[in-house]
Amino acid sequence: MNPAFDADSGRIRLDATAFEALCRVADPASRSAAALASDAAPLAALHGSGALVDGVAHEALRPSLAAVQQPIASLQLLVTGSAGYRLHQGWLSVVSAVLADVGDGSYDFAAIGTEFVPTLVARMTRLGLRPHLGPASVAVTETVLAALAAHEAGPRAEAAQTLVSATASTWPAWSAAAQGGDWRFWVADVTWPAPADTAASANTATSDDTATSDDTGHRLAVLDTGAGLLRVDGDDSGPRLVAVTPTEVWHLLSSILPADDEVAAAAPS
Amino acid sequence: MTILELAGGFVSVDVPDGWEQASDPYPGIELVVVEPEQDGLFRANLVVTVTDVAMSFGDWQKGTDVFLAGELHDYLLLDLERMPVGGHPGARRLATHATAENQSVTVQQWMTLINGRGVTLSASCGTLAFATAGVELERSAHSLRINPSHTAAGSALGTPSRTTAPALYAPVTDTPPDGSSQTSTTGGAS
Repeated sequence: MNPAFDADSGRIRLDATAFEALCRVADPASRSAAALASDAAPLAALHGSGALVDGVAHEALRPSLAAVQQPIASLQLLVTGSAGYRLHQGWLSVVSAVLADVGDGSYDFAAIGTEFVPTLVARMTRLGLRPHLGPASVAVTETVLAALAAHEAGPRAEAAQTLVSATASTWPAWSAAAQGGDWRFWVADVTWPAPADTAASANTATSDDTATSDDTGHRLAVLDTGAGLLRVDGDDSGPRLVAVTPTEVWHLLSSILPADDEVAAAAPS
Repeated sequence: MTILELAGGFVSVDVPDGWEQASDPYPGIELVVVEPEQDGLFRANLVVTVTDVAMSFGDWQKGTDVFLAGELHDYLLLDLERMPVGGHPGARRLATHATAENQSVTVQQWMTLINGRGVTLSASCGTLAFATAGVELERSAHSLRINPSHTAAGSALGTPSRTTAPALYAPVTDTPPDGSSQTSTTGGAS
């Protein structure tokens, strides 16, 4: 696809190849000889869109590219459902950047004020008015959760069917909605480098594929239907689904970014 | 906390000590208190209004939803539920929006309608402070008390046209709206 760049907003829609080439332009030290050769076509397209001017990123893109180059923390937001799979990425800094998965092989890349990251997640996950489920919890397995997050539709559908059965007696309306295909599973991970002395034992370290073993962070995982919201919680006995309200989810989202003392502790001395 | 009586004793509310009170709010706005300045951050605040409402509670709130969505930039309604407010049937909404200075704000609003007088308490804070400041603001909201016997002593409001707060936003619960059991909100304000 040809990139579509809007200089007024600093937003650009592009594919993964063009995005990687754009990042290498902003960080010349990362450009290997092989990358230089393979970047020729995407760079030409980026020039054509106006995102590059004389080989340099347009000034409207510089805040978002700066966040990609030197993030304080990273955001990964996975949203799956009966209809699809999307993986959004963010780089959090004084000004942050987001690469939103449009779902057709293209992405929207833009800068965003860091304090708007919770709103961004809320919009991408369609957080909003839902019935408030009765307080209860239901056990779920890691296998089912992993299948809900699968790229392939088959495992997701099988896992959803498992949830339909597991929740039928506790939250019948929720179960019926999931049975009808009205479900979404989303996982927001914000990670940052753990302090050197705690990296090996960080008890909040996430287990996704992109976070390294030296990362720590905050995770929020939610199962959503039109009948209500369930949060993935866990303890020594394993993961559980717990009824939550949109207010409780927003409360958790508003504190998902690292506190100043958390990232200060992670900063190299 | 300091207890303030508003609208001739019709409403009382606890406000955090040391917060700045606006001296001359607009008509219908009974109270504006703002937390002390902090390095240019959004200042958490409480706003209490008492206004004449010549319509049902549901219609009043549907109009409020439309107004807020139209007036506030980047407005996103997150939650809405029936609950007692000031000891009377009412509701709470949670939303986020952006200020003119491009600050992300989270606002909770509690509202009730008594004898044609609509009472709202809006508590706003920076979104990233919601987990902390929001708790203090909720304490004020839970301290809200409304004394209907003071209706006639309030500000220059018109004659009350209704005496009850009817159902809002469609049937939302089969249990008491006390937050203790399964309740529900609906997305549609039918």
